[in-house]
Amino acid sequence: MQNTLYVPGDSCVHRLDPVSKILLTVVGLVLTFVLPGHLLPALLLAAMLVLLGTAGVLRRVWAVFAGVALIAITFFVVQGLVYAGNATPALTLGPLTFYREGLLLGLRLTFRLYNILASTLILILTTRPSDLVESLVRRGLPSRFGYVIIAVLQIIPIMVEAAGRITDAQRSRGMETEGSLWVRMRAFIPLMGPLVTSSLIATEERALALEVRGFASNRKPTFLNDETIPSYAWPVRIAALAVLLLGIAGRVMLS
Amino acid sequence: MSVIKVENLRYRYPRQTELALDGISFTVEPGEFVGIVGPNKAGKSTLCQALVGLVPHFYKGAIGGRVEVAGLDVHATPVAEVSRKAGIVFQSPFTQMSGAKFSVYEEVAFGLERAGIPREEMLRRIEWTLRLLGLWELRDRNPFALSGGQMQRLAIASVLVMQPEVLILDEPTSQLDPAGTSEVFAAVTDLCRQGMTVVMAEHKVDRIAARPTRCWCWTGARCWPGARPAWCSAGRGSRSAAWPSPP
Repeated sequence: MQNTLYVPGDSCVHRLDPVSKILLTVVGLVLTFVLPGHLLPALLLAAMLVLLGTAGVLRRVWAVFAGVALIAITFFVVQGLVYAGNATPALTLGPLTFYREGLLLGLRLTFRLYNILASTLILILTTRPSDLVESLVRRGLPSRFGYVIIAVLQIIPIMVEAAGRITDAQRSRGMETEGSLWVRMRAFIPLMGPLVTSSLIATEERALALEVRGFASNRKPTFLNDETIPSYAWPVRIAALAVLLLGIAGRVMLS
Repeated sequence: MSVIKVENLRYRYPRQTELALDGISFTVEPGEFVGIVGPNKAGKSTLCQALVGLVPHFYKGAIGGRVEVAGLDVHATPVAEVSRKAGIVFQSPFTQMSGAKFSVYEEVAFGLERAGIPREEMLRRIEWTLRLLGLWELRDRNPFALSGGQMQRLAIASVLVMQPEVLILDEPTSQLDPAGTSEVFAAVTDLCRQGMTVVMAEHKVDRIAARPTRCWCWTGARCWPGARPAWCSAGRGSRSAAWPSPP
């Protein structure tokens, strides 16, 4: 049961510890909003893609990028047509005139969108969720929060499966669950009652099971897996922070 | 020395007027297998949960009498501490999975991590438990990808790895098919051979009666050892047999 976007692998990016990857992601996200113009955001995106390529996860990245392409196109269309600072016509398609200023803003927003995605995907695609949470728990995140984060990843597909079972049962008793949007919407309401009820019952049973496995124990937890931090983690962290400082300093000097 | 001592246990769930357990007293000796049979709502599950402290710590409600398990006063001890002495396995194997681990191996480690067991000891216990329950070959599988019987064995393993002195099973085969039921009973048989004290509430009386056992029948919150039906003590059980009436 694969419930996460994690792509198994043994690249140097995969082997990097979760904390370093969180730092890379945060640096990428901050720079996304700090870097001015178009060239620097393009370079940031290129750097992120190099990292993702090194991890061997580009196929998954392209799929995600393609999934949000409509949003990027919307940026160009809307800003190119109606941006308040539009002054220089760049392209005319029938009755529509796109302006240079709006299209450049659309490009800037598109870089932001893809830089946010790329920064986040470095963490998500190359880190096992349980490793990520465990790493945070080792550093003081309350284990209850850690449990909630990780359990949600597993529980959502289970709820989807339960919803399928309930729908099958309702269908077997003659309820229409497929067809037009209206039919599907009508079928959704009677699904919610049993789904919520069964989920609440399952939650109580799971709470009991966790309780008797010592979940509420006040003892300091230990971990099954040793945390391995590769030798290149610190150079990566320092380089990431240096790039972040350079980006912020450049932005301050330019403004 | 008895590993379980229950004295005049009385319990009522919150917002209920009737007692779920009414004046229960018994002892269980180390290494003994005790089967508890009775109709639904007789109080079998409530008793099982009282033995590990879920009643009253989790459910609240009004409780009287005394429950002592492996020397611990269960009413005065947090469930997390009792769980190191007495483990319980519930009916649904599905909801006993933590939902936070992505392999059988890690799932078994869940309780050990919470209990702060050192890693080396953890590895030793996990391997021993998984081999004992025939799950070693499945150790890399996702817990939710297992069959019902395998998942229930994993639930037993997850409890057993804490090395409790008492194992309590609350209708562990009620949601399993015959093959899964056989898997679980075979695992329990192995545990009994190893000297584990087992208390098992179960509807499949024929399975319970087929082993050297003390078997108690329950009706309406009371234990009736004197009402032990012939088909139960003689090992000729049948699920279709009528439940006895209280004397």
